[in-house]
Amino acid sequence: MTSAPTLDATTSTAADARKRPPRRRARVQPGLLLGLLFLAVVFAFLYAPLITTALFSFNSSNVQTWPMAGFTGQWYHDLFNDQAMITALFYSLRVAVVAVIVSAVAGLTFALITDRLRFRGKKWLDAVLAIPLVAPGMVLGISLLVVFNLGAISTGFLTIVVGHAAFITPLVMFVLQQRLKTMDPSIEHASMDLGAGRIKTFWHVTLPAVRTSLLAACLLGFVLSMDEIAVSFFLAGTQPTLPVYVWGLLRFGFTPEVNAVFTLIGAFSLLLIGGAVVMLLATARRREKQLVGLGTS
Amino acid sequence: MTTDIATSATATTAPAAPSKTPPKRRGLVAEAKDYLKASPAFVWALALIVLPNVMLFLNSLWKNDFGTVTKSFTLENYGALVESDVYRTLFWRTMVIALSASLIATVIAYIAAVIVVRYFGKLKLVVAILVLVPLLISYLMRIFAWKIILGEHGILVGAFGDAVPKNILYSQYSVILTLTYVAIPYVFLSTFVALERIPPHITEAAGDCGASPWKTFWTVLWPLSRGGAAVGFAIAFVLTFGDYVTPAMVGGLSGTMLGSIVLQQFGIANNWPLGSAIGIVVILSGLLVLAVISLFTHTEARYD
Repeated sequence: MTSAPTLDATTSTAADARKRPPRRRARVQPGLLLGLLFLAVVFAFLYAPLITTALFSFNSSNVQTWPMAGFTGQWYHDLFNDQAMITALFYSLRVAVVAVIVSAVAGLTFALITDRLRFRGKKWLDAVLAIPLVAPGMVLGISLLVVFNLGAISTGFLTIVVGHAAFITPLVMFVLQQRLKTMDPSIEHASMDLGAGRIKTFWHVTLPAVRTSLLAACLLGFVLSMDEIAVSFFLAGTQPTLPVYVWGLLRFGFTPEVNAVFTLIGAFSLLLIGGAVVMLLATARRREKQLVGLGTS
Repeated sequence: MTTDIATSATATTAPAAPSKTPPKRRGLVAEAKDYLKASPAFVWALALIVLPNVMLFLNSLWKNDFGTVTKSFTLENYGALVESDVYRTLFWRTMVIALSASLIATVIAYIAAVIVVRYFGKLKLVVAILVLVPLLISYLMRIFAWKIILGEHGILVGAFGDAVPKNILYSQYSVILTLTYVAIPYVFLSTFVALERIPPHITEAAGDCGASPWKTFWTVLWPLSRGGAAVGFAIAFVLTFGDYVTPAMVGGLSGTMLGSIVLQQFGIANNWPLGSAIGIVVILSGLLVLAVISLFTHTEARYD
């Protein structure tokens, strides 16, 4: 690079040499610019529906057409007076809480099982447990429905919880497996050497170590459960969860309250997930620092 | 994963002669004990995943007479699927819709992931999370919003006037568009993880050796990340092939997919065996695509 000016000086004027840096910058920029433009379009595409719903929850006409009629908070007001909607919302909350608790216990147990025990077929077990997470919800819904029907179990709270736990558990399990991998087993050994039993060690050492990951996975599971429609549709009995209730509204008799309730739930979900992400990143950074500290000492 | 690597590492570093000692030292009793301790996971897998799918398959073989199911085996549900023009058309339409939506989503998500990994440095994780955020917003709401956007008096027509056709909604195009939208974050996640794992010095080395960015991409980045793209494509396909919410919302009559029929058979039509048979077709189609994809990714050289 340093030799360039002298070369230039022999072949061209100083003015030409001064032009070079801008030209080089101009050669790098189109790629970056095009890339940013592409990303902007992708982001617009991804966020358009979210913005649309939030905007239309304040639209004063109950026909969903553009241009919007005017600003109103009426739909939020109606929402808080809509008993059926509120019942469905609280039902969804109950389903989500119970499903998440079941999944947290099961997911933690399975993560410990696959991390600590040695047996063949572990990969198969992992793959089979993951199926409800990747398969379309419809398949999970109808396959469970068939079993419940044969077992003469009528659909309702219990069946929805089972359906939700089936796909939240592998989620919790995979997040915790990642965490357990990076955990130093000697800490647990030390605890047991110092006389703590298995249960005490689990309570005082293992659980605190995975606490953040567990909480983050549970928040994610909670949000997914609140949104779930594909599975719940088949497994909900007479009392619909919120998405199932809204599904009915969307198809037969739409009210803009739907936009309002989704905007509220969306904002709430974002808060929860934002919290989960911040927690995960913070602990990851702290762990990194600890590891660095271990390396230097 | 790490435990696997650890055990295989000890196995390879051990002297050649006692290569059989590790399994011997862990006697049958210990192995059985571990299986016993692991039994809750196996029971869960059997009860919630294996049993339901087996029952679904059995159900698809049972006979249905106007809503009453008799448990005698018959292939007539599958026969009905194969013979009927309606179901054949629906199958191929679903296939075309799912394949095109997954393909478009893969291309878009892959390019986006390359840009994010290449240009965003430390911020790339934040940008990646921003791409994933829509996944956490109600599925139903995101689909319904497309109805508002694409409708005859929707935002798109309102913003661009006559430049856009007014009959996009309730067609196969609106279904493809919406499913592409649904699939992008999943494919992005898979490709982003694959691209992120490629050590930056590999591409730097290619550049130092005189390869143009284009050449670096095709000879270094793409071979190392197409596995991730393929997995993303497979996930997208499985999810879009079995969807029934999107066709119900934005599909109308001409955008009906297999999922809509399953819903109908388990609901109003009350023909569970036929619905189960279609469900099995959905599962098999997904498995077929997964098998093709894994064949494609297995034949590749690995860099780690």
